[in-house]
Amino acid sequence: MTREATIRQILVITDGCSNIGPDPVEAARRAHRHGIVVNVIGIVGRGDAGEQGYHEAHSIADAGGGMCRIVQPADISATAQMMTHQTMQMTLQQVVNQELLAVMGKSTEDLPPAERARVMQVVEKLEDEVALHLVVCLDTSASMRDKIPTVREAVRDLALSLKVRSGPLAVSVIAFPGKGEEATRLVQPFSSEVNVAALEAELVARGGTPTGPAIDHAADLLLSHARSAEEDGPRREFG
Amino acid sequence: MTHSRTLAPGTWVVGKWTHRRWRIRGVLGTGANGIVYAVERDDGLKGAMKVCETAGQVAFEWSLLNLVRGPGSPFPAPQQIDDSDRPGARFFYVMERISGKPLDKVWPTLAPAMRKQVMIRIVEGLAKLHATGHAFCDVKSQNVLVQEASGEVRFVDPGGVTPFGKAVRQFTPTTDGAFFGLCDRRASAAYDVFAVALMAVSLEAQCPANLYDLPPERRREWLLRAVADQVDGAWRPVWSRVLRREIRDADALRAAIAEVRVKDKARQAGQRDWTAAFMWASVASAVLTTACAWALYLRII
Repeated sequence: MTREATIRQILVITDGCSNIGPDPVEAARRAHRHGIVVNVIGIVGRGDAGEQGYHEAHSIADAGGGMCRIVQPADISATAQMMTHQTMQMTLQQVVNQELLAVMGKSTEDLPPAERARVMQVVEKLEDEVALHLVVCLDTSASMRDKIPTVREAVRDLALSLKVRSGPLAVSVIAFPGKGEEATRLVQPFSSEVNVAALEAELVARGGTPTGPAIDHAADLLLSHARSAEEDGPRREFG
Repeated sequence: MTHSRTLAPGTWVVGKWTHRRWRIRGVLGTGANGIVYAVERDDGLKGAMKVCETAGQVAFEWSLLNLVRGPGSPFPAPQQIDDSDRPGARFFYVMERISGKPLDKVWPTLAPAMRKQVMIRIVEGLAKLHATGHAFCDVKSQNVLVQEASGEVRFVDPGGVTPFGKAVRQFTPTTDGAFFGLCDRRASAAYDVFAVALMAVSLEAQCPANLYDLPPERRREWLLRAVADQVDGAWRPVWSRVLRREIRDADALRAAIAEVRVKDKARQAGQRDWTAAFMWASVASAVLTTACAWALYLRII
């Protein structure tokens, strides 16, 4: 069963407020309705990160069923790894909870605390074996200029964490805004590792912050990837 | 997910399952996924209470603590796991409260011989854990508590403990071998051995601000330079051998540390005396020369 299961996540890394295109909170809600979890990392630079950006980052994660952390640029990679791990665990725990309810009429929290550990070991094993499809959305608006090298290395680093799991990994990267008139740009399609050369070539800071279109683009990628995988055989959906 | 609020000292937390009561004494620290409080149980037993946001996280860490428990375990002994109705402590476990100070705080004050002893104790603690088929993975100076008087060493935060071969779940970039392009981010004895070397380097060398912007190979270059330029000469061969991947497990690292020749105190004291005497002699001769010059100038003699 675990080989067929897939977890789908979007990770948004941004330093401010969206100002182009549809509402990112609505975009995250739409994605979550399709079983996708949206996590947000807000980057605190020198002297920016206004109240509004903070609020927006939290609202996107709430609507997307994920987590939000506001961090210093140096902490992006460890935070991204921690969030991916914890939200995968949350998703799997919901699944295990549903199964427990169906089979025993009890959720994990109804069990005595010492017995929950056994359930968590199952969750931990599933987390290691489940397939993960992840789209990383990188804010490359003008204000990100100084932080792009750190973000690029953080994405490379996140892939190091994820590729040593037993389960298959497919990771794709989107930059927003794209080049010219594009709101978003596909930096790399789904692949089992991060293409660092593409990241180095494509991440150029410019323009505004179309966060909503980026989340919509990421959700489309995940859903079409799921459809193409479906043609190869039936898969069990998580979330 | 909302952050749980911090409980005030004096607050009682009542366990739903065990019916025990714990009194909050203060905050000991904030971990990767929760808060640790100093607590006292209703019968006076001192402990440390870890509160997480979800029941699952608490249960999972509790299972790790039980996994590494036993006589002489470097980790805190588990006491109890429970739930309460108090917001901010809905899910928690209580463990032994470990005294001592974090390694990074005591390191500058430790004598060379004590530094060696502390490093040996750390590696022995890891060897004990590795014998169970698990790696610590989150080895860092904040997670190592040292008793200054005895040089006794204990570990806190079992959240990173992972079976060999599995993906590392909790780590800190500056003590993560993968961050420096030295190894996979997979639990192994070698992963912990790298972390000890990185921790030792970080105790003496200052990370450049742009370390996080560099690719792993360039970080590794910085690391090798830091070992050559900034680390105490007596220790340099050990950490260089680890970084060259010649030392891959805790026993080999222990043997290498045992061979570190620390400066003994007597010689050091002798050296200091000699330097001081030379300094005073220089000062005295300078004063005498100046006095003579003034005397001649004023025609006193």
